[in-house]
Amino acid sequence: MSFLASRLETLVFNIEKTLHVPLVLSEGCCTVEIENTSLASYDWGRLGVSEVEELPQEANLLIVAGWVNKKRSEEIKEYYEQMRKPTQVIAVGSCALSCSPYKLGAGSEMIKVNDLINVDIFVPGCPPRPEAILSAIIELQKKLSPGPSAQEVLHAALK
Amino acid sequence: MSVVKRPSPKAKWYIPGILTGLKITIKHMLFNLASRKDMITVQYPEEKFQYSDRFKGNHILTVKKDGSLRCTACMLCATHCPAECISITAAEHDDPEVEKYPISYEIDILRCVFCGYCEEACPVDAIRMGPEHQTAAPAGDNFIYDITKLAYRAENKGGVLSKVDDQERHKRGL
Repeated sequence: MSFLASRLETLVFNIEKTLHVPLVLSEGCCTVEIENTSLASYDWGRLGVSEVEELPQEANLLIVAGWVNKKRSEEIKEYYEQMRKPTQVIAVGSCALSCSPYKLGAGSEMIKVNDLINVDIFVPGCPPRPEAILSAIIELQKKLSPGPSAQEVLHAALK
Repeated sequence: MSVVKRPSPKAKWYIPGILTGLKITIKHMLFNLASRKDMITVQYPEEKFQYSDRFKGNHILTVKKDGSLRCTACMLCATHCPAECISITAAEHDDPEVEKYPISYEIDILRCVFCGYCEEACPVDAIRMGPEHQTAAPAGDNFIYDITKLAYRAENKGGVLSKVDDQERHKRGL
């Protein structure tokens, strides 16, 4: 019985690790690209990302896209603290990564996401293409489970 | 006194409504099962979307015929850049016909907004916006692209030739 229980535990652990439940906090033009990635044309459900969650208590993966100002930064911190652990963070777009075009203007109050919370994957671009966001999810899976993926093993076996 | 009319049992009959809504979904599902080639979903890691030639992707530094960089370090791209992400260090060249060349050419990809102004500003077709989409990377990776990444990465296959040739320029007296 203990053997079965341990197998079940590892199964649940693996599912929890590889199933990404995303919470999307996005502003500006990156929103359009994330919508495009999540819907039929690029369909991130193929890579193991579930429906976009609205409750932070149930989400696993935080996607921050677009500009972040002072008011918004407090909101992001609150959301991040409520989320399920371990939390993965993906930052999308040059506004979120380096507040790039706005930082040079006088009197801008933009904040980098990396200064607020610990970002795992960076997606440069203004806005990045849907393929870039999908490649970020693949990078995240490589980081969580190092070694060859099931797809690569299957391809090697077929050859 | 307000009188509220209850909806008739006919209006409560919602199953035909659901079925008419599901008709579109089921039609799409059957269509996708029948012909997978015409499916609109791009199966990303195996199948790549074909961009047009005007797509602004990762930068490419073009090379001359002998394989050295085409860039003359005139700083027009760095001055034109709205995000101020390009930094060039120039040096004097041994060849007297060539004025100067860049020792280091760095683009901070986190700051770049992929506007294409550097490509427009360049007088000798030394920098181009390439056909590859932007690439994500984990934290701790190198996000400042240098010459080896920009000019001689694997996708460029040994370097992209510049359209502007030195000998033609000398013939025209430029």
